[in-house]
Amino acid sequence: MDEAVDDVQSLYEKQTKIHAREVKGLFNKLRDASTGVLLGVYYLLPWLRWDERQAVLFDLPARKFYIFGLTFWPQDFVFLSWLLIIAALLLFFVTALAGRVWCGYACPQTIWTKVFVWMERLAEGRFARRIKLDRGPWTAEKILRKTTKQLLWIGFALWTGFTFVGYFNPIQELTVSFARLELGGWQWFWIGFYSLATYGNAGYLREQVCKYMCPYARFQSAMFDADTLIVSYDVQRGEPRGRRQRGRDPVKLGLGDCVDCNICVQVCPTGIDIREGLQYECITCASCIDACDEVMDKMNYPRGLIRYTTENALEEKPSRIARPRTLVYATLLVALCIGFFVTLANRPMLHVDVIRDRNALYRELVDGQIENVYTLKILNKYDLAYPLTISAEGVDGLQVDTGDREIQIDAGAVLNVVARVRAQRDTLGPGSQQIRFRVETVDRDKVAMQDTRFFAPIERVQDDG
Amino acid sequence: MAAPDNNSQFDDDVEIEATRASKPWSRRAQLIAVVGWSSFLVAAVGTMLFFAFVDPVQMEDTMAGRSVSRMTGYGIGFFFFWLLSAGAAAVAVFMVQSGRQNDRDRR
Repeated sequence: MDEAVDDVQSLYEKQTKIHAREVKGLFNKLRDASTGVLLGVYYLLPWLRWDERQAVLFDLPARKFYIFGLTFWPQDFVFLSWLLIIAALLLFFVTALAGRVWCGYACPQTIWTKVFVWMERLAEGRFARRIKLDRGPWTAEKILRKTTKQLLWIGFALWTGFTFVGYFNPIQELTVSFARLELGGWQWFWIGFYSLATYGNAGYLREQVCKYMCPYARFQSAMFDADTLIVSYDVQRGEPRGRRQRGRDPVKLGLGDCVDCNICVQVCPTGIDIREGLQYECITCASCIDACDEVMDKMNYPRGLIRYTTENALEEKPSRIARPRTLVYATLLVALCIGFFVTLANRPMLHVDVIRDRNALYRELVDGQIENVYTLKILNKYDLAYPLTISAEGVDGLQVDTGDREIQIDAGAVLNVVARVRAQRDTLGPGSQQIRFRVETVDRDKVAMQDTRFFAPIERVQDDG
Repeated sequence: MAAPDNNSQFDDDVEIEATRASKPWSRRAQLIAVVGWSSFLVAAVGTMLFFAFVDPVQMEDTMAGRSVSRMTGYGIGFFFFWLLSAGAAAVAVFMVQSGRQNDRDRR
């Protein structure tokens, strides 16, 4: 066995040393690309302008969300929940089709971990060197390298936290206040909170989050079937594994293609051995594929001993992309998306909420009328101001008194109007009845309606008799 | 960390992204992480839902006349929800853990 190890050793030492970047495989490049794109979007999006304002701004202090040309109000909450449902279904669909690509290529945990690892490598060198550094005494070099790493990490984490808060507060103003150290208490707090979370998660917790804390990791297998893309070791081809000298025919040695170099285990960020089969810890980062392909190339064996494949393909059965599960997910997804955009295009732009006066259910006026008082919260999502008329229906002769003032609502504004609604007593039943408020633009082009209750005395008061 | 064992000869040849943290977490650490993180997620959703319908500025009446700014309202709301759901998660974990222990004791 020792001899075998030596053989392998000498075999590899003859190879010229390869630079890290050049040996990086296809999937590593793909992950680099997705990391670059996603982080680029994250850090740059808040700086994008649209019509004199920030293109994407979740303005929590003003309770308005701006997404490019659209403005969302708390009343549009349904769209946010709808969007989240679409996102969840998309995740299911992609998982059924291609396995955990989310984990390997798009999850913020993976993305930021990758950047932090990259910074670590920049400051402390590569794997073996890093271990040596960790075990060695605190020399000047070690202090310098560790400090550099911490500075890089903290700086990047702060930038991340700042950007995060920039999605909720106008980032240009935020930058000015930040530079002058004039941020509000909560702004400081959330920048710190998010920076700390980034620093801890990407710097220290890393894939432990996937192993111990991620709910998706535990339930994603429910979306899996025999046609789902997985990272798998080809047992048929690889076994029996064993070390050997290059150039010797594995068939004669009675060996499979796996040289048992253990590199696939070493590169695995979650520390599993992919040769033991699919495990829930696997985040399909495909590092083991890249690493194994590298070794296969050196051995002059075909690549793909570890590869993206499906359970069916491994059993030499055909793999299908269109199958009941994916078709159902896809149909639902398309239907939800169409519904979303149709509803969005037709969403009510004039909105009214009716709040009853809390002090009295009703008032009896001297002339014998019954009066109920309401506050109407009218919301105009249009970019134009409108004069409004307010009426109510549901009881004969219902009158709405909003005072003498003409009611005019500004563009993108909320207007509170006190409305006194009166009805003749004899037109009312006992107790309460439903009425409906109509808020219309004067040209009757746009209308918002809201139902509410109108209260009257429970006993029909006997008139003079 | 996976120590440079008999395979260290590969370390310079094949770039290894050893991102692995030093060792597996203890059961206690796992439980704390699970309680903290799952309640964080729930609190995030809860905060979103709650403040979609409630404007902190208009909560003055229910807050004994004290008025709070929106950002303060959101902040307090979030940590209130986090604390609440972490409490629920912690109790759940405690029940499950202690129950299992009892089963084992009996056997």
